[in-house]
Amino acid sequence: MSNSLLDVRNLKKYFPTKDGLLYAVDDINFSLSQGETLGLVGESGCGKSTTGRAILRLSEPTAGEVFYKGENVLKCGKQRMKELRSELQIVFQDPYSSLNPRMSVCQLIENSLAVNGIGDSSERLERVKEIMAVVGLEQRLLNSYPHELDGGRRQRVGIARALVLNPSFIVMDEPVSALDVCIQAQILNLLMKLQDEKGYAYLFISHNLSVVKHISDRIAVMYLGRIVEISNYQTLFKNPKHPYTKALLSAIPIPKLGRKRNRIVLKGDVPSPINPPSGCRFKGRCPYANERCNAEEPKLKSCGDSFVACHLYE
Amino acid sequence: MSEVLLDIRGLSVDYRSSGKDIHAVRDLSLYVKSGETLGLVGETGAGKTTTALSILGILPEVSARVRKGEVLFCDDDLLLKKAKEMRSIRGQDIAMIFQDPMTSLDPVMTVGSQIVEMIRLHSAVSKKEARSIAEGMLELVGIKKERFDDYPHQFSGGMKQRVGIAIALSCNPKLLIADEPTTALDVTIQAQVLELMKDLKRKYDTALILITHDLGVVAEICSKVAIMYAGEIIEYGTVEEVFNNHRHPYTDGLFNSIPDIDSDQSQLSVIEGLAPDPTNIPTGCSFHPRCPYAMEQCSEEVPPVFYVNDSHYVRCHKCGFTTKEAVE
Repeated sequence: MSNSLLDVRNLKKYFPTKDGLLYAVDDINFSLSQGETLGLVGESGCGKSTTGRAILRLSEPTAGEVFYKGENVLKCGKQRMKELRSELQIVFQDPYSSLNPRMSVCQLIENSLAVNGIGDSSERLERVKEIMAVVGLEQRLLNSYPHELDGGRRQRVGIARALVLNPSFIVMDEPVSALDVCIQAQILNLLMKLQDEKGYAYLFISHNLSVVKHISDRIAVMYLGRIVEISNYQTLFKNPKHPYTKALLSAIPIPKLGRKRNRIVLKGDVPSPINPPSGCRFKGRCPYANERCNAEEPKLKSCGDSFVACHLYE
Repeated sequence: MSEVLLDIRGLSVDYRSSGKDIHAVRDLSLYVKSGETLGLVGETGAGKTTTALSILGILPEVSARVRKGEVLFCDDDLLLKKAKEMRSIRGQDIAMIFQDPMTSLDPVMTVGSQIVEMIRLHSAVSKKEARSIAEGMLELVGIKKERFDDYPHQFSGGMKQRVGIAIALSCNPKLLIADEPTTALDVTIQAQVLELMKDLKRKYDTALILITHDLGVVAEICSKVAIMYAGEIIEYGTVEEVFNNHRHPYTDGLFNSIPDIDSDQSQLSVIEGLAPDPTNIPTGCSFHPRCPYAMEQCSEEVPPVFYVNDSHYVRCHKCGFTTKEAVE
């Protein structure tokens, strides 16, 4: 427990709406060691991004604890939080809207340093140039504006901006979803290379399971604000346990022919996270749902190599 | 069964933007037989959507210009049709499913009336009859007919896309063009919609052009594939041929950049560089600056079409070992 870099315990984030509370993230737990990647997958609205943002206090969690190197981040004062922010960074999904269109590449990256009062302007420029080389941005782009860059380069700026502060933990919020497959492959290779060299820990949020499998050490599957299964990436793909994980895996379109598999097509849509169903949240779409699922909410429990929240495995 | 429904010959489309010509589609030829499913695959800006819009004659009037080519539908050139004639073909004979179900439906009309509108536009039926046909269409795509009078905002993304499919199929078109129909949807919902489309195709025997960047979706539903790069089709063939025996280095790169779900890879192989600027397409083969096998010839000569076999062709000098004549 104490060896982990980041420890998230009973994290909750509820949003008040006029129809009642929206349970975006409801009591999730996980930990992350240095140099490790935890993939967080699930469908739209299941609370993946909210989890990432709540950990960094970009939206203040409703309850729970987040320990970073043994320190509870959620209890930190303003000053301490500001210091911590340089170690806890985030890369956003959409490189088209997460960069200020009126700032040049140099300003965008330098800003991270300036805000934290690091170095004088010439030192900062050096750091910017260094980090641009690291993420594979040409020096000639120093004074370019985001609209002059393609999606892949913009995402590299987003990554450079996060890395320039030498963080140890980075939330990757769908960093490749807006990119074409060829560019996506370039960025994934970059992220993995950087991790090997610098030992960053990633929380890699994505809805693309093949991408998550490629980059993660462990994978957590979320459904309606809860983690329903968490395990090593190989175990998760070879031996998925939760009915939702199974359906999710069987739904991935695979670019290969003649690959026989039984597709589990789930009925219906994800229910609303406002007043979610009692008992197991997946019961309405689950082919194995029984009485007990109605009455009692399953807890995340160890089962073989993985942790599953399902009554079938007790 | 094997009659050619749509035959595009040498189509070139330009957009004019700040004084420069953007060559969005260049010398594109393809055909679709009735009942066939063709996947049109490529990256952003490869010209997939422009191709679809030119078939339907709905290119933006101000900026776009068809430079040359023919779009033969049942042996009639659609590019020569008058606006009024096109209006009756659109929806009736060729229908389209759009990418984004959140924006392609009218938010102030009930979903039912949007289907009825389509039916009444193309066939002389009473309102009552149209309603019952529309209700049937809703049931067909898996939506209860009680929801006929609901508005789009009351539907989820997957349901809206089902409504889009119901509208497109309501006049029983011969050709359906689906532009990234599942891209905006979650995987489990995507699986539902793909199953539905497969089912309906079987039932109606409609020809389908599926525009997508997802080779996984292609493997699932298509019988033929065309790979587009910088406005050209650089490889074309049956799914089996293109997936298991592709010849173009770009196609190869495209397959290799997708993480393989069945095995562990430490690194993905990537295609270096970026897709070319459409205002300034490289001479010779448009892929040569990024191609690991580029030869001198590639930067000078535009590669002609080489036939690997009857139904599989490639535009690449490296593959120039055989011509269609040689096969025949």
